[in-house]
Amino acid sequence: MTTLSNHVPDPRLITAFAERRDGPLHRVNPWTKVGIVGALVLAVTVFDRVVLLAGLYGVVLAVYGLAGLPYRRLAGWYTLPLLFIVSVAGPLAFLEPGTPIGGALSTPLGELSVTWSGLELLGELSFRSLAVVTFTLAASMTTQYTAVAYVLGRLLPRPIDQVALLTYRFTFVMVETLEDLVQAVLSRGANLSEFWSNRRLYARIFGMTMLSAIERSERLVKSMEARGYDGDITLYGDVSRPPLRELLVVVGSYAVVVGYAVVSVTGVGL
Amino acid sequence: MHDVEFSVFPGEVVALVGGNGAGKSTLLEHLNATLVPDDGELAVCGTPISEANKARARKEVGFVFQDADTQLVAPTVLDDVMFGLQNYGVPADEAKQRAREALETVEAGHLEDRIPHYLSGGEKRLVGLAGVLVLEPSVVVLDEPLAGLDPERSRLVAERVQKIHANGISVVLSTHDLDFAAEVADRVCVMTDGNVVGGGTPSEVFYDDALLAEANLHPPSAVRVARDAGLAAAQPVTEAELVSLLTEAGGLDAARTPAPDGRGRD
Repeated sequence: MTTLSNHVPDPRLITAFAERRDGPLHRVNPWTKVGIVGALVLAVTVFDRVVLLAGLYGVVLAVYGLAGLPYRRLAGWYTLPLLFIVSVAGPLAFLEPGTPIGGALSTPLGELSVTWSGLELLGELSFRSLAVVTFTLAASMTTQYTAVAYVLGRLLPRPIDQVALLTYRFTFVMVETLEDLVQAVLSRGANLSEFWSNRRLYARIFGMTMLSAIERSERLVKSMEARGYDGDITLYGDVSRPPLRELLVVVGSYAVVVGYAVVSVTGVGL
Repeated sequence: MHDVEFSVFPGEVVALVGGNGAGKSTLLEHLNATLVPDDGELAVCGTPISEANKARARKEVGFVFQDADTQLVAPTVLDDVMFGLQNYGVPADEAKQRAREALETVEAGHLEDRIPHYLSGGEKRLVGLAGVLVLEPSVVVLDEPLAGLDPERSRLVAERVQKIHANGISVVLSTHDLDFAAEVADRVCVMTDGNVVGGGTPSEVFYDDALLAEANLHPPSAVRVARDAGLAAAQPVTEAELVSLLTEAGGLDAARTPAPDGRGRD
């Protein structure tokens, strides 16, 4: 496994956790997890206080840990969402009005400063993103493929469900191609530690990954066709309805979020 | 490929040999209609195959690809072996049972819960083979089954190929390893430049220097040793045949006689 896998969620590792481990979250009905993801997305959209969002993120982190999933891996996998957060929310943090923290920095474009409001905004956006990312990872690492495939088949219309299932299969090909290419360039003395100074190399790797992955994907389809695949992935398995207590948790989650929204809109302070 | 005439008969093992780019894989991919010829005829079990009925060819002819990684498409080994059965609408319970039996056939039953992408090269090859055998084909096609395997894994795969053959299934394989071809094949076809340039029993092919030279191939080690030992007239092609001849000729007894310093020579 290359260092690349430490920063990109590895579908093979996620599959291994989903198929081979047996933690408390593995035993939760997949429909319940889908319901909770929905409630979580709604919550991070509706909640507008950094304390609440931090609390929500804390709960999600605790659930991740209780499910027996590794925090060290999670920290590595945060690289991509954090890059996104910093690139989007970072500039916004400088634009928030208020008293500058530690003074302002003079630049040719004017004075740059971070205010408490700016920091709060950065925190809000970070907690929003990381809460959803963390729970989605936890759900994928605790749900077996057959259940994921069944849920996708029920939730998405054809042929989008087929596209989603094929994407799952091709993700393995893409990751392996990327790893092979990275190993190949590293073995010939390349240095990937500095992104900007190695941007041409990164661009070449990205381009080659696309080309090689397309070629390998074609071989994958050919091998699937050799075993009777005709454009329609048939699925085995059935995901039962969630038990009553889990249903109550999902309904309760939505009730809390909707209740908060109602209270916020009607102006009653919490 | 052009002007190729190639047949496989029930119960035989055919080895396609030739250098890189000779067209072995391309010819093999026609056998289960992964490729369909632009011109000419492809028939499987007597039925002409076209774009319209290539599913029949795929049912009758199982294909194990050279790159095992691109053949494994499911999250666990058992799911992967069941993949073909799913496509043919076999009920889940029956598919699971048959997948387990297929894994046992290649002695890989212990792998059923493993994640395919974490298996070794040899294990992946066996799982790929099980994924094909589970469909109960009449013919199994193996493209370079020993590519990238160490001698121990190669021996394991060779044994499984012989086991499949013993179950009455025809086998067609391509290989660069002429010792392996000599070991398992009833018939050998030599390919070069997209054409089958010769064929016959292993003895006929591996003692035909002109044919092997045309395809840039070297005879198997047993053939070379037999020639050096003056036993070429008997045309042994495998190690076992050579050992048997040497034993009959007394050569092995002489080799086993202790040297004057007391050390055995074998």
